[in-house]
Amino acid sequence: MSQSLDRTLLIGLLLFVAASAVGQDTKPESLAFFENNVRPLLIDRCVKCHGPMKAESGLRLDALFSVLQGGDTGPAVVPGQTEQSLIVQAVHHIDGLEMPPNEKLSDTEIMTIERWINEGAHWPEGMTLAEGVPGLRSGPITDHERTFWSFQPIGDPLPPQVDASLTVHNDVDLFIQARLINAGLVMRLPAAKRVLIRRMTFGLTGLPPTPEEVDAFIADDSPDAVMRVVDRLLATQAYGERWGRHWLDVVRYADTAGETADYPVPLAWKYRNWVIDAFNTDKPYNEFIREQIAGDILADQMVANASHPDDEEVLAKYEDLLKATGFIAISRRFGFDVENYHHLTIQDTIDTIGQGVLGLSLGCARCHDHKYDPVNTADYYAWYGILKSTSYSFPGSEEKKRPYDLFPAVPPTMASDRMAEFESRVNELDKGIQELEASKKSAEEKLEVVEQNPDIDRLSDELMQLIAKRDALKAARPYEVIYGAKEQDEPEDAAVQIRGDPLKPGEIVSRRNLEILGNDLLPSDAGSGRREMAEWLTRESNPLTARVMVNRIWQQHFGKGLVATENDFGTRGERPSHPQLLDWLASRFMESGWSVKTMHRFIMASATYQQSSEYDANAIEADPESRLLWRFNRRRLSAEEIRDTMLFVSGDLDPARGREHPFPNIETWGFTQHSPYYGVYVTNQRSVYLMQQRLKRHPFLGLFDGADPNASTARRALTTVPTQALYLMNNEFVHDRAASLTRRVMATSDVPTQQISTAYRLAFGRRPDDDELAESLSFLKEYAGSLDSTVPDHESLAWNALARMILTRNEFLFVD
Amino acid sequence: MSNSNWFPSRREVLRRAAGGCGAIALHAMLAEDLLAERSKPSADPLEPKQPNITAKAKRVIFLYMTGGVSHVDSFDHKPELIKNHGKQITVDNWQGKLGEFTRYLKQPNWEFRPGGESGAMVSDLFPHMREVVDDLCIIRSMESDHTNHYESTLGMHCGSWTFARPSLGAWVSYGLGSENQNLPSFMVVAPHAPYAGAQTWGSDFLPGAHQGTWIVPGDDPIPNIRPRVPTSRLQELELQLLAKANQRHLEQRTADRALEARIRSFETAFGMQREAPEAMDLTGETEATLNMYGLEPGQTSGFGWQCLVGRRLAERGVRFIELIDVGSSNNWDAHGDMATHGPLAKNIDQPIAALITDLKQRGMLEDTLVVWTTEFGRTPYHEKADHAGREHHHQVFSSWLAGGGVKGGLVHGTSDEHGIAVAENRVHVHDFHATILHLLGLDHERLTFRHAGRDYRLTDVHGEVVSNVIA
Repeated sequence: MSQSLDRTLLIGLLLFVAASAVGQDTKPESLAFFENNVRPLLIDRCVKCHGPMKAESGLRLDALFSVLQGGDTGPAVVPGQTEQSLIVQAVHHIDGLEMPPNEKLSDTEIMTIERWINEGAHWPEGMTLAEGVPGLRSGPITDHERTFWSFQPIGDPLPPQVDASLTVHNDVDLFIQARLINAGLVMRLPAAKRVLIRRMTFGLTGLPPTPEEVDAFIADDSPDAVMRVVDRLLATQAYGERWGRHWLDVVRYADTAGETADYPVPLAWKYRNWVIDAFNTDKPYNEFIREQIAGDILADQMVANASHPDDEEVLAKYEDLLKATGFIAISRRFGFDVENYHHLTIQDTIDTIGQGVLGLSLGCARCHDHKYDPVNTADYYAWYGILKSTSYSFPGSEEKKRPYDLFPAVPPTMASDRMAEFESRVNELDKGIQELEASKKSAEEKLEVVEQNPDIDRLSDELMQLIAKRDALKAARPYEVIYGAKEQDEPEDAAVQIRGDPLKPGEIVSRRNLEILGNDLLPSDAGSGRREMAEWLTRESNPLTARVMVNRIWQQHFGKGLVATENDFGTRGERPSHPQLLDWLASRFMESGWSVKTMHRFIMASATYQQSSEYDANAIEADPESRLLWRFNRRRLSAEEIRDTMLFVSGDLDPARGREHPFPNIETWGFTQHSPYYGVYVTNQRSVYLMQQRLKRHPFLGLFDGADPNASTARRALTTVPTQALYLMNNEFVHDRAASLTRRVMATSDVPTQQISTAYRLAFGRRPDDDELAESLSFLKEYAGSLDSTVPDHESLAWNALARMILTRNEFLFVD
Repeated sequence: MSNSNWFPSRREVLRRAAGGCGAIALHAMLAEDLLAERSKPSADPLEPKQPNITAKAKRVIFLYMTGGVSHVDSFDHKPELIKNHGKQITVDNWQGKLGEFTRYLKQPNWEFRPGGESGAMVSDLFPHMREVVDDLCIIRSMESDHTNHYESTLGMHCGSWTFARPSLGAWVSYGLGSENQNLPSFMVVAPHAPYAGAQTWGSDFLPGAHQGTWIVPGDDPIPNIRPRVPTSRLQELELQLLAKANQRHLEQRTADRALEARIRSFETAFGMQREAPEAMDLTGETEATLNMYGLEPGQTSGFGWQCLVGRRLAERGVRFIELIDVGSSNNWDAHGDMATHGPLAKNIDQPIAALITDLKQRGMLEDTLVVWTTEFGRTPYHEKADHAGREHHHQVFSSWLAGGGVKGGLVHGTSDEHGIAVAENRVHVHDFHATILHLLGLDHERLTFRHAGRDYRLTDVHGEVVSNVIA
């Protein structure tokens, strides 16, 4: 009690002193100096740690009274007296007070602080700096919030000019080189061609180059050798399998629903393959998004406008557009009776659209106004109404054990025609069966004793045939079905759920765009509003969508995005390392017709991409993570890449596209929370086709840091733990691949040195040197000699061991 | 596979090591190469190291309860809160947000009673822990920096609420190395990942060998632990070849922590094949021990199993053992109804008391520091009168320390009359970390790692050792 009294007195006293010190100074120049120089400096360099989020050492620098009061060590500022202001000592790094700790302020910035204090530390009355920095917010969106960088229109900045002596392949390099020069850093030399083709091939396809591809690239001296490889890789099916997987990470794709019993979703694969195809055909990214949000509406429009709606092409396109809406349907399901938790499923959809497309977390606005970003509860429920007016396919659940609302993959009229035809054919057969049964019965009644009778035998045969025919017809569907989304018949606005509780409705909110993205209203003839939402998300004036996607493409190539929080472009996210380059790329992206492949060409043609990953002692000190890209960052292969590369190198990879998983027959489903669905299906197809469960991770993908199928994964967090090494040492999969590699290598030659050379070329894209050859040969000999003499085929066993040591070494697992 | 080929006696391993072909020799060879290469004092990140001040504890068992355990329902007895139940109050700081908020005081769901000779008050939520309260040093003045699970879980583990930084366990592993080269120095036994996932046991910029290895309770806690080649001699040959190749690869790629960690992970994995199954195998434990932890014979999951395995890992020299009770859902986050604390408490109470008793009986409590904590407490009040739940509350909450040089039966720090703010002897998470490190003989200001041109610490520029809790 007495403590807080003292505190109140102290603050009162300080404010009194402050008023007398700075009160009389209200000159506009002082105000301008504060606003233009001091305020941005405090916000950029001080308030993050000394402000509303954190008050390190008890010090806050976001309001006058707290600046004067100071922290644990005393007043930060004494107006008019720089010598007694601790902040001045701190920014000079005097007496152990070193602030900011990472990077000292520039001389100009220090002079700004000193001048401000010398002139009386003017501070606009009652003003706090909390706005615009990640403090807790709520309520109406302020003008200041609207000025946040990521909400500004995407600019098209001119690339900076740099010294002609610097390596520049294209405009991307100008932006990178300009920042490197400022930081006193130098880009590395180009990577060796052998390294580069491995990097490019993994980067675009998730697989290594074949020895022949390596040789051809090294032999190709033409200036467009690199871009020829890029174009070749972009045209492979493997490209979509690698890049589609990234999008599947972002949209937390899974083959199960995620409710208490984790019901399988046997049709999810159609959406998965749609994503892979979209990357392979370079579907413009704006269309890609539009179709996932509103594919069903676009499909209906297309059929309505088609001159020949029954054309195969139209029908194929219709089915394709419907598959895209799998994006909405694969939203996570919750609880025992999924229908009771549909509000959480909608939250999951909204959050995934927010993080995935916009780089904004929207989900938290379900219960309260967003605490950091300008998104309010009303915004959330405006979108909630749109999705509430949408039918999601139902996956099945503990309470209702069968899926429903699976949508016909053909247009409605055709679907009802086919259904009618189907039913009439079934009826016809049923009728025939009844007639035959009647004839058979009357024939049997005519006989006094039951005995062999050719008429009855004939009737029995006919009957059996007819029944089989009917059953076969019924087993086949009149049309394919889709796990997706459709418009509901009567769209309606939703009520705010107070504190996120669906049982406590508040005011009704009109369906509309987020306020920060334009607040657009729905036209009167709108359906659910998804068609409009699709437009709001993909129009060129949307400041986020293009930036977020080019940043993802950048991140997949370089390890981190220009904005290193790829799913968060809000106030809590990181600021872009190269804001101009981000905008420049976003502008090129839209200009190219939202072509992802064009962005690959820009990035991969750059000297920035093609430089080596070589170490530099000084640069490491200055920029350990190479955020400024003074080198290319070495990376570990992803879980999928490790598995696929082992399959590929051993010759075991099944190149076929994956389709449905061998789930148990729907008629047998009875999963519960006590006995949930669990399955792992073996396949030698690429890992993108592995069945991925929500509640239980796939054992391999979980161990090697695969994506979390419950939440959007912007970037894989990689771990290195002994349990991974145990897998590489002892798992059957690795042993089987090694045995296949042995067989593959042995089939090529009888000469041990050539066999070893072939294995190296397959696995690492290079030949072994003499030491490595000698080492491998002596290993084979010693290993064979150490085997139990009663075991047959020592040579193969020793080779299997050598092959395992090739498939698990760092050179195999990392890309330079 | 014949067992004799695979699991030689310890003496045999040492003999082989002396002969130059064992895993230990392999390791030594590698270490020497690295030594020559980089002329560092030691290139083995896990080599046992001397503490920089006098150590009271050699290892830590860190018990982490996910979701935010209510302090006023467990370890912080507030008679005034019970008396004033339902009264309207005004709070000036609600979940870190300043202003004036009208709230209603809410009494605990459980009765408090004194325990042990010290008579420290513990509620009926934890009757078993109350029985060992004379061994606990309860801190009722804990404070964290953030109201969200994610940030506060990160803060309690990494001393940073915004960015991933090395975890406490990684710092301890970095500071003291490992006493057992055949097990990871930092192991996490948890049925599910907590908030912030693997970042909570990550090593971030510290060498990767210090990151926690996550074990999931169940029949197969460590998949792939059974060797597939017929003899350990053959696997040694394989791993020697692998180590040489990786070493050459590393030499051409200076100072890459990810590559180094991968090399190291194979060495640990080799040893784990022998040591880990034995550590997880409870068949050698007496019925009395199993009963004490509330375990049925053959049981391979539950917090009792985790605690007993924790003791066995401690015996085997694992430096930092973290046991997490539940994951980022169905946990202590009782917004809706405080009654949900009941079954969660039942899951942990008896096993934790058993762990303390067991360690004590074995003479291990003296040099094993047991830490019990959560990310934050829960509001002693609610926005609505008579609401069944409580919200997040990081301004004050309770944790405890036991063993490892800590004063048992002590209550340190107090919250105010209603358990809303710290009244005396604030222990911020940074102070908590500084104290844990201190007990291990590590000066938190001197345990640094140079990264990005700056010496980083677990406690950043903060932290004071709470000397009152030290025996």
